[in-house]
Amino acid sequence: MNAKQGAALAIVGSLIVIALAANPNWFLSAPNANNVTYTEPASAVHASLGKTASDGTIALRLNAISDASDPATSSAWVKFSGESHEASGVYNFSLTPPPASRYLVANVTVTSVDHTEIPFSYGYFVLIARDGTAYYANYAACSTGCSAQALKNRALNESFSSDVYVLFSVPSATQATAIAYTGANPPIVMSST
Amino acid sequence: MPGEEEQRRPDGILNLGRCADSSADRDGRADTNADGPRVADGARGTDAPEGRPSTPLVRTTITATAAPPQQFTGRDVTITGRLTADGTPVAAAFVTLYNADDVTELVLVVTATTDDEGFFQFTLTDTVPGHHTYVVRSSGTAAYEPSVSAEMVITFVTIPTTITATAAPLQQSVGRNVAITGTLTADGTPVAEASVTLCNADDVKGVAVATTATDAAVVMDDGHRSHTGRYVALAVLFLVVASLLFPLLDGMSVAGFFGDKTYLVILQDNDEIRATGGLMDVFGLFTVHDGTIASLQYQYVGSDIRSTWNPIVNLSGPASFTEFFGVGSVALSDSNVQYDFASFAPKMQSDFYNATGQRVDGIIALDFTAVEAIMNVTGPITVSGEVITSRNVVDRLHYYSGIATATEGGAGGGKTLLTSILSTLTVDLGRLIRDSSVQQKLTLYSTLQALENEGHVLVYPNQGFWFRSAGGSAVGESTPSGDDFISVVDTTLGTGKADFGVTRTIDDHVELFSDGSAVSTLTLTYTNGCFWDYDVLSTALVPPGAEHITVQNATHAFRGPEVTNGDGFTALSSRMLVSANTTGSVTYTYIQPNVVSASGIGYHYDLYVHKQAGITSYILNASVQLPPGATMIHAENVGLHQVVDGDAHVSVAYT
Repeated sequence: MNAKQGAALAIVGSLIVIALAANPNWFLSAPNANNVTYTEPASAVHASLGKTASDGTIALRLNAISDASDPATSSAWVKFSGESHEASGVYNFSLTPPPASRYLVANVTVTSVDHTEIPFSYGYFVLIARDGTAYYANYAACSTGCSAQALKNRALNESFSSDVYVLFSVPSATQATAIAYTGANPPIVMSST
Repeated sequence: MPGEEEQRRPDGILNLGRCADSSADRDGRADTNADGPRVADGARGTDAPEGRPSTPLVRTTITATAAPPQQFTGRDVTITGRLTADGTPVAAAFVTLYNADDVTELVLVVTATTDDEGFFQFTLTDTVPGHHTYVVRSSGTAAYEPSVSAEMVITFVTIPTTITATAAPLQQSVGRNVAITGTLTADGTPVAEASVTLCNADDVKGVAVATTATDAAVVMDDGHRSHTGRYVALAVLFLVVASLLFPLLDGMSVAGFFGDKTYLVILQDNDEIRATGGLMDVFGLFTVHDGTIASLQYQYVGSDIRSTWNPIVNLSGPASFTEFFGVGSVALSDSNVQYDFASFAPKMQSDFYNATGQRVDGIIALDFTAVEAIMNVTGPITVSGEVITSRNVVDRLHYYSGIATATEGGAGGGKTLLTSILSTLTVDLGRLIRDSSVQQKLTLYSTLQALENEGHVLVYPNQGFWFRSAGGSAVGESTPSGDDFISVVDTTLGTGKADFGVTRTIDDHVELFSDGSAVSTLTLTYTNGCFWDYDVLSTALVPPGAEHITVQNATHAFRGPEVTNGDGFTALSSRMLVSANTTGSVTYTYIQPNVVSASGIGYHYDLYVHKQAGITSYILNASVQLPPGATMIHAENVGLHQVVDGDAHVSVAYT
């Protein structure tokens, strides 16, 4: 056995010793490194619920934030999710949240105010909770015409305007205070009130 | 879990998650630490020992010094010290090094034990320039008081570099090439994979002419030179070594220490469940050399995308699949229809070689659930400006997979995003392995182990130590001979993507007879919580020799059963359509000639229930009816509504 193999064996041996010496309860407690916050830049554009804000290329209006279990929200999601699936090939998305979680759905009117095609992704939406924690979007659905651009091509043409339903998976007790769109320059922050 | 999450600090130091047995935290009480600042959760238990005697404790003193106090990034700093009590060494005591940059919340770095003379030693490295403050704490014992050292400030600075360059020839004809070569070193050591720029210095401001990178780099799939290879190498080394601790030499061989090894990595989408975990979305290929990655490549594959990596291949079974669907050939990415990974992987190995000419030494499969769990450890990543967390990664992967097409172009398409996420995640995983504390490494290690046990990470060939659970092992080989088993294998074919919204219940009632035979009544129930139909080929593998008697179903549409015999099992297959927001079921009744064994004082019956790779959990209802006149001695895992996320062993002993 040469020196390199010996050194590698020593590494493996150390791992064994550490693993055996460690308290199982100690290293089985998997941490969650996903608590993140969103730091809003001073230049951010703000709008209250039902009001439109724009960065000059895209205009957004937050119409509502509701729990996915709300019948009207569920009904709208089922309708538009089906249309999105047909139009863009995205998967259907069931409204059964994981344990200890809830789904919040933001209804946002998205309008292109530029004269050229602009990039868009629902992945730029972030829900800001009352404690400051940021939850980035899980999924989105919208009408057939919207899906082909906003979901499939991830770009909006000049005349685009549509409601987009953006779904966030959050811990059960989470209350949203705002929805931010980080893809705008400057970012657009829409208050839930 | 809310309240059980850690936070990543701006400087990258992780505040470690709380211990699983921290009842104080579960009770929601505030963290009190009377003798100092608040200590990160991972350090609890060492600072607040319980059950101290009422007799006075001996005061202790702890000294610690760092040498050198200023060091280059990436180089070791040694911290040594001594723990004494009234001048007498304290041996075999735990001492812990904390980062004290934030005086209100110390962060555990590493723990050591004092030697016979009370001495201890830690070794630190840092890759980021800056000042850091550390303290060493002793948690005390039943006889000794806790104590803390004076603060130590350690400064890490970047290593000064030197660059040499020569041109040959110095005089050249117009239109001919002049080669300029040189070496970049840092404190005398060559620096690999660093960007260097050639500037025209006719003007003192300098005008960039060309940029290249120093050598010893790994060429990635996109042709860019990158540090990624080294980080990925560490990640894979850790995965392979940690997973293959025994036998040692086999583990060393797998990690490429005795010759290069090449592995095929498969990302499986468990929303579209397949026999070995899920629809195959992405293939990766990497070669390990001396525990480091020599090459790495990811490629999106889809059922409708033809490429060298994804040709049409013939299926060699299983019979219950090919006969039911009348399918004899499929895309390679659709070919994981065998009932277990141990049967599928060798065929994949062979098919991939026939398609690409590339031999692979092994196959590693992981599903989206595994990616989610790994991200719980690594933390969020940003890809194309979008933040991906463990909370949304599965859904985002589904989305990118959904919009990926054969013809997409540009950097924003689903194929690119899928492979970008995997690359970024792999790099972060490697960085975490390289930079994290021992506890974080162990957390990742235990995460990988749990993922394997639950069939979310599968490795072939099976090394016989960690990789022994259902999904990774052949069904027929993973059950002791003569015992009863059930392995339910579901397959959807694109029209019923619904795994996460479907609850599976396995209800098995076994009636034992005095001659050792049994009649089993097995009911598989699918509760579809989705707003679309669930179209599933459901197969129950049971012991060879089982004689099927009857089948009943309660579904919207049903076809079956198909009864086939395999190597070490009997397969009972049915295709069912479970309508949206409804429940569907199938019930098989079959006879087994001999499933009872005699023991020293009586008889025992054992049933092994294997969880399908990829699915997250199932509900098990298990009941056993003893022969007339028998008396129960012991029963294990017999009961209703058992939520199981791995294999289950039902056992009954009686006289």
